[in-house]
Amino acid sequence: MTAETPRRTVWIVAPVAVVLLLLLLLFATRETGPNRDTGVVDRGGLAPSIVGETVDGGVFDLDDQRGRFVVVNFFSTTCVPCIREHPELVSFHEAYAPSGFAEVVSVAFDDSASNVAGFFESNGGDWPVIARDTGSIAVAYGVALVPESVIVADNGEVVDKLIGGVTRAQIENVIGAYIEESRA
Amino acid sequence: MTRGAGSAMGSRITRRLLAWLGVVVVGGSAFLFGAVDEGAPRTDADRVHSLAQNFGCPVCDGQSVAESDAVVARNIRQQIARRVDEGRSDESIIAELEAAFPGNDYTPAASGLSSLVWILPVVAGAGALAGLVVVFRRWRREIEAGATPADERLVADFLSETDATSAQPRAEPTEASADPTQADPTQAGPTQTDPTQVDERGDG
Repeated sequence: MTAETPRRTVWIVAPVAVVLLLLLLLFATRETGPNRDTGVVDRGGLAPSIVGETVDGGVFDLDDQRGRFVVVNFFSTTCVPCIREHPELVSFHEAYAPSGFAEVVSVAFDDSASNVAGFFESNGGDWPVIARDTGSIAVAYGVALVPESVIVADNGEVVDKLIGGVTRAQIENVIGAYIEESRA
Repeated sequence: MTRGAGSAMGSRITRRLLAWLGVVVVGGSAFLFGAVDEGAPRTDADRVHSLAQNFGCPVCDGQSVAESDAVVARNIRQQIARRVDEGRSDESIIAELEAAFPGNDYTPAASGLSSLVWILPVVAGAGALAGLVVVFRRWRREIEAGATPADERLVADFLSETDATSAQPRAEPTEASADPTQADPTQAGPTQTDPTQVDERGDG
């Protein structure tokens, strides 16, 4: 052991301490995890395309719905909040679809076409339902969990994305606010 | 020991050190390369897997899309596969996913504070290399400096002791020791002493 030993120790310890401090700083300032609010869609941007075969054998194309508001509802027959919100969607559809003001389209999230058909038979709802190959639609709309609903305006742009179960009043408020904003 | 002998020994040790250093550098580099670098994806499936590994599952804790079995992770994997089939670039695929599920791109940014992830290993590696160079140069200086007066005194003492021992009258040779091939190596003169042995004892 010589007098030089402490100085040598400092030369070894100091750079290691600096590197560790920088790493600490780096990890302390990083986000703690993924965004749990799931994905987003660009509000005010054009809604991603939706083209798919419906459970009754027809074809749904979102572009054909220009001129009316569309509620794009992502759901699963095994999801409790989805089951709870279903009567609200039925009520909204019955109020606004006959006049051509609004439409609802349901997109199944990891569910079978037969389950979905059975669910609508039991719970009502007479609107297009897409149950096959829906993964790409869900990704395009940033859907990670269900239920989620995206309100699309009559001009095709995204009005809002609602996370969790929705009510008829909630959808009406979103559309009403959008119309008010557009007129202003 | 003379300064020339010390210098020859020093260069031999330096060569040995350099050889070991070469082995460490080559072996370490190979190990690091094998451990860290996965190489460019070879097939489309490799590319899909590589992209999925670098994108976090939006609803999982610390799992990538490649590892998770959540529905959204499966959907994203399928979407990546579709985009790869369409011939889209890695950057555009990640940009699309990041737009839909922000904050899940695992690839550290090359700017800002996140760039430390790239910079720190290089700085640490360069620092370690510089430290090695400094230490090796110091060792070489010490070796090239040759024997100190204390070393030389030690060697002189040893030689005088050896001379005194060899000057003592020898015992009658036995039949075995009369055979020159059976000569006792410990009776060798000072010229046969391994200089490295002397040098090692003189350390100080």
